[in-house]
Amino acid sequence: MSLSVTRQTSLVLRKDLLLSWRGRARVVAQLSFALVTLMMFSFAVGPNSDVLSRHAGGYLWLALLLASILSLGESFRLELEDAALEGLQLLPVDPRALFFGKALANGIQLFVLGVILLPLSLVLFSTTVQFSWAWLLGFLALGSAGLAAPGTLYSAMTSRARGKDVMLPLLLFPLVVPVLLAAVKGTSLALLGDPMKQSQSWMTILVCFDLIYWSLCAILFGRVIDE
Amino acid sequence: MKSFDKEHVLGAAGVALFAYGAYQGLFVLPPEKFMSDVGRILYIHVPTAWMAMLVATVACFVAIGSLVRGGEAWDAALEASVEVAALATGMLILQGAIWAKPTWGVYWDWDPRLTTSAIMLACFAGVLALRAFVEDPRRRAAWSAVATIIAYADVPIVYFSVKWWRTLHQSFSNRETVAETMWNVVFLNWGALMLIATWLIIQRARLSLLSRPARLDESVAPAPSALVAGG
Amino acid sequence: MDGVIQGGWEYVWAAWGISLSMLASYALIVVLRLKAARSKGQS
Repeated sequence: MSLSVTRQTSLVLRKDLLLSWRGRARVVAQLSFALVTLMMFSFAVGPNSDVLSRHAGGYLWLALLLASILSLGESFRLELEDAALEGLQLLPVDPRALFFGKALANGIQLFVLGVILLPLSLVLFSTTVQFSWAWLLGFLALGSAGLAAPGTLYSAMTSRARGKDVMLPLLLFPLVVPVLLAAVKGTSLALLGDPMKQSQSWMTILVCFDLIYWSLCAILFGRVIDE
Repeated sequence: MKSFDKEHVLGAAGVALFAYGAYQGLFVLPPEKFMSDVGRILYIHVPTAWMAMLVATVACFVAIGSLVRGGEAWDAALEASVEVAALATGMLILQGAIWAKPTWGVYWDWDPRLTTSAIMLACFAGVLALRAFVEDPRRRAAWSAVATIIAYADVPIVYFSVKWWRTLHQSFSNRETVAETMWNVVFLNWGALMLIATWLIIQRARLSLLSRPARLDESVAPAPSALVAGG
Repeated sequence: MDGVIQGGWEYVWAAWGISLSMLASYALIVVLRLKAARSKGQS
C-alpha cells in the first residue's frame, strides 16, 4: 500500500510545520535577525524618510533573503542528525512529495516571517500601504515561494557538503535574482502606488519563475537525496 | 609511445582561423561609422557572446546526459564545459565593460545582456565551488549536474526580468548599432572560437578523467602498473 | 550621443588583449596539467 503523492506531501508538510512550531525559539531568533538587518539598512542609508520609504520594498526583501538562509539551512538538519533521510527513503516516500512538503513548509515559514516584518518595516521606513494590500500579500506569498523551491533543493545538497555556510547563499542568491527583482518592484508598487499598472507584469515574472522552479526542482530532487 | 590527441587538429584550425579573423577585424576592415576603431572590439565581443551561450547550452545537455547515463566520462565532460563556459562568460563581461566605457561613458550600466552574463557567471562559479566541496564522486556528479540545469534554466528568466527592470528607468535604443560591421568576420571569429572551445573542453575533460583517484572497477586512466593500481 | 568617437585604440587592445590572455593562460594551464598527469600515470 502506498499513499498518493498529495497525501504524502501533506504528511511531510504537517511534520515539518509541527517541528517548526516546536522549535519556535529558533523562529524568534530568525525574526530578530531580520529585524536587526532592517535597522542596519536604515543606519547605512541614513534617517532621510523620503529615501527610506522609496526603497522600503528593497530593504524588506533583502532582510527576508538573508533570513531565509537561516531557516533553509535548518530544514534538513534534523533529517541529517538522525539519518532520518535514509529512513524516509526506505519507506518509500516519493521524492517529489518530500520536496513539495518541505518546500511548502519553508515557503510558509518565509511568508509568515514576511507578514510579521511588514508592519515593522512600515514603521521603520515611514511608509504606508498606499496602493493595495492584496497585491502586497500576493507578492509576499509568491516571492516566498520563489525563494523556497530552489532554497529547499540547495539546502538538501549543502547540508551534506563541506563549507555549507557559504555554499547555500552562494548557490541560491544569483539564482533568485528574478524573484528579488519582481518581489521588490511589486512590493514597492503596492506600498507607494502603481499609476501605470505595472504590478501585473512583475507578478507574471514571479508566477513564471515559481511554476518553472517548483516543477524543475521537484523532478530533480530525487537525484539530490539519492544514496 | 606517445599518441596524438586528435582534438589538436581542431585547436590548430581554430587558432589559425582566429588569427586570420583577428587580422581582418583589427587591421584590414575600415573603422565603424559611429564607433570608429572602438568598434573593432565587436569582432571579438559578439563571437565570444555566441560562443559562451553555446558552451553553456552544451554544459546543460551534458548535465542531462550525466544524470541520465552516469559515469565518469559524462562527469568529466560536465566539469570541462562548465569551466570553459565560465571562462568565456568572464571574457565576455570584461570585453563588454571595456567596450562600454568609450561608447556609453561608463564601465557598467546594468545592460540586460551583461547583467545576465554576470549572474550566469556567478551561477556557474557556484557549480564549480560545489564540486570542490563535495567529496563523494557519484554525489558530486549528480549534484553538479542538477545545479547546472537549474542555473541554465534561469538564464532566460533573469534576462527578461533585468530587461524589464531597466526599461522602466531609461529607454536605451538598441545597443549594438553595428550597421556597417562586416558580419563575415564576426561569423569567422565565432567559428574559430567554437573550434578552440571544443579543443579546450576535450583537453580539460581528459585532465578531469586523469585527475580522479585510480579505482579497481573502472580504469579509464592510462593503466599504471597493476601493483600500484587499486583504490 | 551620436557623435563620432575619436581613436580609442587603447580600448581595442585592452579588450582583445585581456580576452586572448585569459584564453591562452587557461589553455596553457590545462595542457601543462594534462602533461603532468599523464607522466605521473606512466611512472
